[in-house]
Amino acid sequence: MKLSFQDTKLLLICSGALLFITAVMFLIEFETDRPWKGIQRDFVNLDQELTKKALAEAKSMADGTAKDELTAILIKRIETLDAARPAIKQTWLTHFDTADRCMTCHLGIELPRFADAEQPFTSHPGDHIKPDRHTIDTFGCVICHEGQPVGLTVEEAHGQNHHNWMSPLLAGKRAESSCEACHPMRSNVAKDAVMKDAPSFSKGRTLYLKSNCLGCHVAQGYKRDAGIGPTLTKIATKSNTEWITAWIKNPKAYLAKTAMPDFELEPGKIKAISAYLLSLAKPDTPDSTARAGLDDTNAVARGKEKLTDLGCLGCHAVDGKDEGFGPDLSRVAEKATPEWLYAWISDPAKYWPETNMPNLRVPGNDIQDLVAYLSTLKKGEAVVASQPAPDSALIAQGFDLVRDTGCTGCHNIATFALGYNAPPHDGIGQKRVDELVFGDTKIDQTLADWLQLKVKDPRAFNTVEIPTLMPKFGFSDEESEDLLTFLLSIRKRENIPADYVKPLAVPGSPAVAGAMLIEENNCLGCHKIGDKGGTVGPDLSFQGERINPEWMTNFLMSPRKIRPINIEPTRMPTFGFSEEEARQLTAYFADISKVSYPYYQPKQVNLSSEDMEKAWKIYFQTFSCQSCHAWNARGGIVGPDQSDLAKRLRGEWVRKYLENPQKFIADVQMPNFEMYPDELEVLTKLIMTFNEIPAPVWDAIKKRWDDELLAKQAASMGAE
Amino acid sequence: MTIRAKMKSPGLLFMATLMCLFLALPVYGEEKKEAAAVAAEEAAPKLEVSLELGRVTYQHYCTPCHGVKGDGNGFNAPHLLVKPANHTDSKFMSERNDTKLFDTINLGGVEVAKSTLMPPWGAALGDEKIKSLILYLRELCKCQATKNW
Ligand code: HEC
Repeated sequence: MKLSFQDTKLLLICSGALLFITAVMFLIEFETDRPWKGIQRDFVNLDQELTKKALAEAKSMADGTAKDELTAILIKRIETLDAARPAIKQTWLTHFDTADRCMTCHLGIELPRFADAEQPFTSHPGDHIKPDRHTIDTFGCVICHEGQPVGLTVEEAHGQNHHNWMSPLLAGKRAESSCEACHPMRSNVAKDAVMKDAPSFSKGRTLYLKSNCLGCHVAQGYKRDAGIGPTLTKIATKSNTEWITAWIKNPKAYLAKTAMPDFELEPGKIKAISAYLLSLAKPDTPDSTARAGLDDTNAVARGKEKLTDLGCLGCHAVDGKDEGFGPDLSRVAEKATPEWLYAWISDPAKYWPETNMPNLRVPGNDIQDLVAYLSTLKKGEAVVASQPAPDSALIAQGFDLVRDTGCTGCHNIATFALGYNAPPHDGIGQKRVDELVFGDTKIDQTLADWLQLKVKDPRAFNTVEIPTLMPKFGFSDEESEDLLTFLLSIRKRENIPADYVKPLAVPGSPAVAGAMLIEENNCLGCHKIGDKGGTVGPDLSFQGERINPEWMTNFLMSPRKIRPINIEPTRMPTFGFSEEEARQLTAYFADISKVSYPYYQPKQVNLSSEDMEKAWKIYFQTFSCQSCHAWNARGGIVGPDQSDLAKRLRGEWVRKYLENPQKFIADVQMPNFEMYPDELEVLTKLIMTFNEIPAPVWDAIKKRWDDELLAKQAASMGAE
Repeated sequence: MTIRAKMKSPGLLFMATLMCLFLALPVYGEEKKEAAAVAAEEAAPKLEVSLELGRVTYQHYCTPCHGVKGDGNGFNAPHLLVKPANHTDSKFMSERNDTKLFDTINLGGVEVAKSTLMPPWGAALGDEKIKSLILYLRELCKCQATKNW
């Protein structure tokens, strides 16, 4: 057939149109074949593979219903997968008014069989996604991981390296920065509190609070400490130019673990600051009381022993490692004068009201010994400690520097207000990249990169026009990562519905308030609680079930020794707890012992006269308790006086303790008498009435048993 | 109760042994528990009897009454009706052989017809520490037992 021109034209037009349509369709198809479709196809293939493997394994199982059921499930799954068509998956988060489409690509997120698969199919690590914790339906992914939940490409959804993306994805441990929004952990729980499933966040928070970042920065919900560094107003009574200048130049050279950062100041400025600080007070004149033990080798030796005996080592080390709660003392003589040491040990709060160092109620002669020993602690040759002649220009320069450098962030100094005004940290975890100055650095321009470098090297972004003063803390890589996780948690999240907020610990509860006091006063430096803590003082794990709460509260407010010095040279220092604090601690101890608080001393059931007689015999004869214990100072002085024992101890505990003292205190000097139950019963009851016995009655009873004991002794001597 | 049971009457100990044997007969759950207890006991480090352990133990438990030097003048001695023994008295100490010393420390003064003011230490200290204490007592008195009672 021969085609006419018209026909050819028509054909050409038609085929052209067809070609065009095909091309357009192809283009549309190509354009809509978004990456997620390919990803879904890969997912289906991978799941097919996994399922077929599982099916092969299932077929080799022993015959039975289990095998049949499993094979049926797997075959069904293969069929479903065969029929799978690409589709956007999303969940609507009603409370947050957004769709969350992350599961369009992250298809294995809830399927344990994808635990080892590669991203984007990996199942979620940990057990965070659980009906009683977080479900995808209620949280989606975006509530914890941020990102753009409606985006369907990596670039759009994650937005990690996107300059102006408001909320880049928080992957890995950075996601821990979101927990705090619903599980608040600000200044109302202890600094070293740990959120179990957010270790990086917890470490970062502890570091942030203990480094006293809040001294200069503010953030909502976080409270500024009353002063982490000592007051400097009276430093002239304590130290000298040489030490002060060396310290400011490089604090870590003197105390390896100090929280004091490096301000990178030039020598001239340091000299001015030192001159100003020393001008604030007059140095002490040499005092013979403080210096009594100096250069006396016996006093030095006694002082060294007392440093251990008094429990000083619960907080301080003398090995240069500076790992204690208080400063390492191995070079204290370079820093402090004997006069200052004497006054400080006598009453630390007099010099520095906010100090955490308690009053150890050390008698004067013991302090002299301690000062004698401490004054020997220095490295190398003694430096000539000097106080400069006042130079008013230098002092004026120092005043300006102290005001402007940030010293007041941590120290109380003369009339300066505590605190320094560095940029606030509110919302720092969601700062826009265009608000950040990257200076001459070549790092990726994201918030996370910026924060991490800022923490590690605070002046890295400095330019001539924009210099910042933030000092260097010397954080390690790992520490800066944890700090980053923490800083990212400081974001404004007003969209969290009230019923999502679930505090993990109730602020103000005995558990939380007690833990805060215990941390603040470093109780664990001397005492054990559970398997943590020191061995200078008694184990506190069971004091709740041991001690009568009323007594404990009073003791915490005004501690006194209850055991003789020979048995226990250490003493519980006076921390100056208020009644409220003492009660919080008491409630805390009841809480960890799982006993009731408050506690009502049960009225003692009267003993029958027969049992009473039996009990006295057990007390004075069988076990001769009086050989180690006194009643109102009548009797032995190895153990505590028992006249007020009923007010100090809980009855149930006395019984348990008598049964096996070593079970509670492994090396206690009280023997295990292996008492029989009936003995335990009457003896406990008797002891719990000791506070009600009139002195003449006690004396009469004691005399009777003493006489009997002497008679027995005489008889046995005769026999020998 | 084992140590004191022995003190009260040897018959009791015999009975107790019989009871133990009886209880040890196959009672399934019990047996398991017993095995766990034995394992726990074995896991605890066994103490070596030594003069040094004796010295440390003595200084911690005995000195309040017997004194840091062992001469019976501890800080608690003035508060006792009967004066604690002087462990540096070699005549006195050589009259007591090691078995006798063991019984005294283990079960208390009452076991050797002495004062109840000398407490029983067996349940709190255990055999190894008591044997170590005896080594130290012999060091204190610079004597050996002459009489075998
Ligand atoms: C509560 C005070 C006290 C404590 C603690 C004490 N004792 Fe005694 N001990 C005595 C008294 C009192 C006597 C004297 C008894 C008598 O003469 O009837 C004594 C006597 C002795 C005797 C001599 C007994 C005899 O045969 O005459 C020995 C041995 C002894 N004690 C060892 C020890 C050891 C070892 C320890 C430490 C584990 C110890 N004691 C702890 C009070 C004490």
